[in-house]
Amino acid sequence: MNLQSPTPAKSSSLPWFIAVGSVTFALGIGGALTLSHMNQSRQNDAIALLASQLADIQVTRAQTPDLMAITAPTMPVPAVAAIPSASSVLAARVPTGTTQEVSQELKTAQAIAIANRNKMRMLTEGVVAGLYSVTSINPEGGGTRIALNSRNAASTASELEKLLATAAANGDIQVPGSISASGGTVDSQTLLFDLVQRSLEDGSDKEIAAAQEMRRRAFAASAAKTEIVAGQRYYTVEAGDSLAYISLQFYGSTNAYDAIYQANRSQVASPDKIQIGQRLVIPEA
Amino acid sequence: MFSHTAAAALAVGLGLTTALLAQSSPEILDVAFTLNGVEKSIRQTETLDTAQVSAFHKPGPNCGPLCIAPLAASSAVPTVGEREVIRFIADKVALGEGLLIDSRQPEDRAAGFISASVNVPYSLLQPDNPYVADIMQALGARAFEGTLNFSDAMPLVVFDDGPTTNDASTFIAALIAAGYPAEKLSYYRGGMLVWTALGLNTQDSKS
Repeated sequence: MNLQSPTPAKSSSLPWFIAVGSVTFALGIGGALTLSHMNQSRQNDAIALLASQLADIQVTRAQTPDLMAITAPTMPVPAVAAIPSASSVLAARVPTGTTQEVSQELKTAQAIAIANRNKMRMLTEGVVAGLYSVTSINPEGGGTRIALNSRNAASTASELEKLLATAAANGDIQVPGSISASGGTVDSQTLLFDLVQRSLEDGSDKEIAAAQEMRRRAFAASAAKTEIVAGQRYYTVEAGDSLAYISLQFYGSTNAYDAIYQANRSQVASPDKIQIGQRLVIPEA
Repeated sequence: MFSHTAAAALAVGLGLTTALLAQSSPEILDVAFTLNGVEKSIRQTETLDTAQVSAFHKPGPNCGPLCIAPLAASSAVPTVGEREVIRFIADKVALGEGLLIDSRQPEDRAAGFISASVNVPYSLLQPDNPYVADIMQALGARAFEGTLNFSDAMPLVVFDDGPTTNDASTFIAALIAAGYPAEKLSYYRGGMLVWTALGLNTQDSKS
C-alpha cells in the first residue's frame, strides 16, 4: 500500500492546514471580540475578512478546499468528500454585505491570530528539532491511547487540542468522519497529530524527514494488539477508536485511514461508522 | 480446549509424581500436546541417561575460573524452572501463543533438544546482521518504515545447554537491545543439562 499521500492529496493538505489553523485564529478572534464587547456586526466583519483571506489562498492555490481531501483520485468518491471545509463553514456564517474598513479592534484580533499561528509554529518546530515524544497513556476510564508530548510547547499542544475540540463541538469545523470516534465523540488528539504531520509533510526536506520520524514514533508507541488469521492482520475496534486513530497506530499517520476503510468496505458503510468490537482487516504497509 | 486437557494432565502428572515414584513406574510424568500437527509429549523417566546429561556439561575455555551462569540473565527478566517451562509449553507453545527458544548453535542442538523448542541461534541477533528485524517479525513484532512495534511480540522462554554456558543470556541481552519488551521474556537457566538430569525426555532430530 502506498503510505505517502498521492501528489494531489499532498498538495491539497496545505489549504487544509491553513483552513484549520485559520479556524483556530477565528476562535481566538471570536474570544477577543467577545471579551472586548464588540458588536455583532464587527465580529461578522472579522469572520468575513478571514473567510475572504482563506478564499484568496484557495483560489491562488487552485486546490480543493475539502477538510480531509486525501482520498486517492482513482477511488470512488467516499462520504468524506461531501464534508464541507472549515473555510466554507466559516463563510456560511458570514452575512452578505460589503467588508468595511479594518478597525482598530480588528487589528488587535489579527495580532491574536498571529500569536495562535506562532503557537502552531512552535509546536511543529519542536517536532522538527525532536523535542517531543510519542507515548502510550492510560486516560481515565479509557484504554491505552497514543499521545503527543511536546517538550518545548507542552501547554501549546494541549491548548490547541482543546481549541480543536471546542471548534468541533461548536460546529465551527466539520470533523471528517474518519476522525469521529466509535462513540461519536471527536478525537482531538488525533486531529492534533493530523495537523502537525500535514504541516510538516508540506515543508522543507528537514520537515518531511521530521514527519517521517513522527510516523515512526507513533507506530512504535502503539499498544494495539492484532491477530493474524490466514495471512491477514486483524484489529478489533475499541472504545474511542476512529479510522484515523487506527491508521495512526498501524501506519504512524492518519492519512492511511482510507486504505483501511477500502479494505473493510464490506462491513464499514462509511468512515465514521466503525463499531466497538468490529474486526477490521489491517492491510500490510 | 486443548490447554485445559494439557493443564489437567500436567496437574495430575505432577500431583501423582510421588505416588508413581513409589510404584516404580518407568514414566512418572507425561504431558502430551500437538505442535504444528505433530503429536509430542514431555515425559519424566525414573532412570537417567548419564551419558546424555554429561553431553550438555560444556564449560567453555573462556568463561573464567567458574563456568557458572548468574541466576538472572537480566534484572528485568525472570529465571524459571522446569515446571514453569512445561506449563509454558502446554499453555502457550501448544496454542501458538508463545515460543520456547533454543538459543544454541545448530551443532550444539544436534546433541538433543526439548521437543516444542525452536532453534534461533544467539549469533543471529548480532547487531550487524541485517536480518534482525526479520527475526523480530518472526517473533511477532510489527514493522513499518524500519521501525518495530512489539505489542504483538510473543512471550518467549529462552534456554541453552545450561548453567555452564551463556548462549541464552547473550540472546536475551540482544533481544532487549533490539527493543523486545523484557516482560515478555523468561530465562530457563537449567537448560539441557538440568532438563536431562531430571530425566525429562529430549528429541535429537527435527520432526
